[in-house]
Amino acid sequence: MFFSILFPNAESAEKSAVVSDKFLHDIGLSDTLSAIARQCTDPTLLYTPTVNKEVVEYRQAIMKDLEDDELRRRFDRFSRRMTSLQGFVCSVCQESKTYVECVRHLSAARQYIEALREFTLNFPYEKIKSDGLRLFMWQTNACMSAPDMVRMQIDIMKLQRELQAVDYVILMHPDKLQVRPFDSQPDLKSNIESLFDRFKRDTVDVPFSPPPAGNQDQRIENEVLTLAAEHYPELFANWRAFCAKYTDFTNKAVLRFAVEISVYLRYIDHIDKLKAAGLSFCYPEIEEHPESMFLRGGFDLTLADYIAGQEKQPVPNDFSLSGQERIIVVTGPNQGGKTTFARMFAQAHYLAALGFPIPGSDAHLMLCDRYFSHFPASQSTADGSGLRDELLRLKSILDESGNRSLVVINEIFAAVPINDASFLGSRMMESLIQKGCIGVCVTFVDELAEFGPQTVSVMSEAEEGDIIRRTYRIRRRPPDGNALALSLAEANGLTYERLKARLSK
Amino acid sequence: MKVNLLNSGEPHKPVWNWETLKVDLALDSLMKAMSHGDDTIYKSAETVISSPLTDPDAVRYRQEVLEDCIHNKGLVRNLYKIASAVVMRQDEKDLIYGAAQTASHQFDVSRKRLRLLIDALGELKKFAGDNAAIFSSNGFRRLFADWDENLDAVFFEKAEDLLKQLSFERGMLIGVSLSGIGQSTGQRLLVNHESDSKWSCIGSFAIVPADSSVEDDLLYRQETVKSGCNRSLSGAALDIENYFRSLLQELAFYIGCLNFMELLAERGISFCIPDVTADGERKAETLFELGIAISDQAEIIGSSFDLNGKHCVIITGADLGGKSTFLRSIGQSQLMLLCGMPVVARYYSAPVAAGIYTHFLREEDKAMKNGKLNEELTRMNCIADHLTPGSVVLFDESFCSTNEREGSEIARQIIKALLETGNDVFMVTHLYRLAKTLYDENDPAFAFLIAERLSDGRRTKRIISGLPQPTGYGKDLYNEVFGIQC
Repeated sequence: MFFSILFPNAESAEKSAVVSDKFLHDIGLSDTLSAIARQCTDPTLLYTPTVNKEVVEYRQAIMKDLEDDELRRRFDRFSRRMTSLQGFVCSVCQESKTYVECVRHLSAARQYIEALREFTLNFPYEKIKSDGLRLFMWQTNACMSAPDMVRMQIDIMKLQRELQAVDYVILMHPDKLQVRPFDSQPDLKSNIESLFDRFKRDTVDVPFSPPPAGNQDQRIENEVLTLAAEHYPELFANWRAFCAKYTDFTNKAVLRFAVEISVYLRYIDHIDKLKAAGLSFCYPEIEEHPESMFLRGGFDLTLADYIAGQEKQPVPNDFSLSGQERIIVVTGPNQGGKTTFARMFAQAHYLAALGFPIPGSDAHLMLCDRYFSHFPASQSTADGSGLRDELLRLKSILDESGNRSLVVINEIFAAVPINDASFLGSRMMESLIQKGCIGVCVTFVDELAEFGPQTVSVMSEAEEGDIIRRTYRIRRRPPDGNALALSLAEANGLTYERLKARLSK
Repeated sequence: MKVNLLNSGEPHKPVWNWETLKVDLALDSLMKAMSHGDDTIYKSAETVISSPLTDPDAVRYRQEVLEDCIHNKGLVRNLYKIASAVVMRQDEKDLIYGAAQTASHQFDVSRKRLRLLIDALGELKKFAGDNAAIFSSNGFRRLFADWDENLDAVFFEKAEDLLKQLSFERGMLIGVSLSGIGQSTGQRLLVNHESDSKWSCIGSFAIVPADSSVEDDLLYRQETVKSGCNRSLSGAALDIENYFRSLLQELAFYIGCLNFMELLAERGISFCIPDVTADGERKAETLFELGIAISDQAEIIGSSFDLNGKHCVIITGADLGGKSTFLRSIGQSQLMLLCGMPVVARYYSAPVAAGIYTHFLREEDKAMKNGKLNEELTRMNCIADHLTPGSVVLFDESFCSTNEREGSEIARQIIKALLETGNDVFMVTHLYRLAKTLYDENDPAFAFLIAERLSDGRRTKRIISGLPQPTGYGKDLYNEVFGIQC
């Protein structure tokens, strides 16, 4: 039995991961996610990563199916049609009294049926591999072939055919309206055109006032239809009977599907643009307690969006954690891509837990149950209350985290003397290791990088040349305290050789 | 229906070098003389003159129409007045029409326009009935035949009935179809020839005048169906107006020719309808330059020549001897011939040409001849880009902005190339080396003219046959200016 396109069953929908305040903002995903959310009726999924491996696999399979262009086009069109119908359909869930209401009722029923029919017609079932979509299609077909629905389709077709055959004329006098069946009276417009055709030379664009917009009083329309009904009594009676018979004709699961599938579709649309620009996405293998973890060719999704406009691509980076390794400590020159690396790490895990393909070519990740970030407050205060605030935030993270938590820490203790920073940083590392969480810590305190078998030291690299060039590559490597100062000197043309050369001219 | 008095291909597109021609051949003064202050004529003259014909039959077609106009001046001017009245009235209407806010308003404006236009068509019909027999040119005969065929009694009968329909005296009959969901769609106006009895025993909905939302709805319905007819209706009015507009424009050109001829006649200057000859025959008796013919100069001297078989005419000789004036008159008369216009000469004959190109030294250039060669060559390059073989190319003191040897060589090569590709060349030059070289070739296709200078140094402003002259007699001028006697 089909439950939902988001969850394989009711139990799996019950629990989702904890995401700390500002986490999405800190890891740079909030803009991208809200851009996608704006195009969805119900974007809740984007903000509720699952803790259940079964759910991830359920969704990944659906995503893989939707990567097929034909399937995607089909589901997309169906989703759009059904979503736009939703409010409309609900408004006619009762018996229609007037002819104007009958028009709306019939229209809703027809559009609902048409959307379903178009969707299922020549459906390429063989392309569907996922349980979610297979169950949904089974449910949809069952719904379509239910006797009530079949009867309604037949009734709609019959009514439609008969209504389309109705042609009538209104005689409009200043004081009254009359209605009669059409009697082949000639068209005034074609009379004008045929009489003056002899003067026509080239098609000249005639300026003319367009018809006024909307604002038709439904009462007159109703009166006109009532007058017309006198000439077509049987048809109009059938029409009323139809509306009385089919009041609540929609299938709720189908309507909900149409809303929920759009999150998948919009995410695929989003990454498609980046794929077209040559970037890779992959479906990570997910485990709740993996032996080792890695990501190859990962990048920051938001940065990729941002620089795609300038026809540039982000520099891909890898990471791996195996054995006891849990925490990656990033050091190296400023502007070298350290924060981007931290974001990439966090985004990969978060997106994986949504069941989405993630930036990268191959990955094996942990399915986390809590997501924490500790980034510099936007306004740093110099009076020391900044440090207090930092420590409070850190404490709440450490209190709540466990061995399935993900923690990203960026430039903590940057505003305190190096000895203090070293001390505080060391205490923090001890706690993180003790809790067993995975994470990234970006810091300028080199000692933190070699804290034991649980830490991995990586550095952002700079290439030396005439002008210093950031490679934005992050490599495993012990910290090198000189990198920052040297690169700055190089950039300013103040290295020994450069300065000598300049002064010798 | 199409007015075909000018019989030129549509659309009238000015030749590429029209603005240059206008200046170099002083055509503005011609168009002013034609228009007599009537802007319609000026515009029409510019349209016609800026896109000369190339087919001799088309030229003769216009010449015939022109002769009809000459013989029936009063009638043609009357016809012009009918068309002019319609167009002027419609231009006023455009002001009101432009402000049409609603479909109903536009509908009414169009209906009123059609009323006036159909009356004006009646006037045309009457004019043809009274006068058609007097006209003999193909152009006018085709025009009247067109009216006979299209503006017959049935047309006017139907038009009157339609105008009656458009006023909805018997109510508005609206056709409606239902869509598959029972919605009214395809609302359109129908012709109402219904008898009242058909409607007498049918249910009706009484409209309560005080109910504003009902009124709005009815108004909305009327607007919608009228709007459905508006494009056709104002399109029809516009089409008929445009017919009158083209009648007016085409007649305006001929009226302009009549005005111009009257002006010349007042001044006692001869003009003629030129002969369109076979290739290479070019002959004139007292050909005048336009500016001189129109202005009030006392001393008027025309040129006479027989240049049959000549494809390249080199004009040399005294400064201020009338060489440039002569060159201009060649260009003017060629262009006017191509437009089917009269030419300011007692007799004139020339072949048609594919195009007319001028490469003149501009007034502003005359002072500073240095460093201009590149500019001159660029202009020539442009001409070459556009030139169609069989054209007439006029050069006035071209390629003098370098030394004589180089200038002569450049000019010689250009002339040769032009001649060998079937063009006619007229060149005023004081590049003596050029003239001499060409003269020595002894080619019968070349003619050499000089500005006449009497032995006492006086210029007659006559262009006569003569050998290339090594001097422009600038010394004469110097002497004259400084009052030194020879």
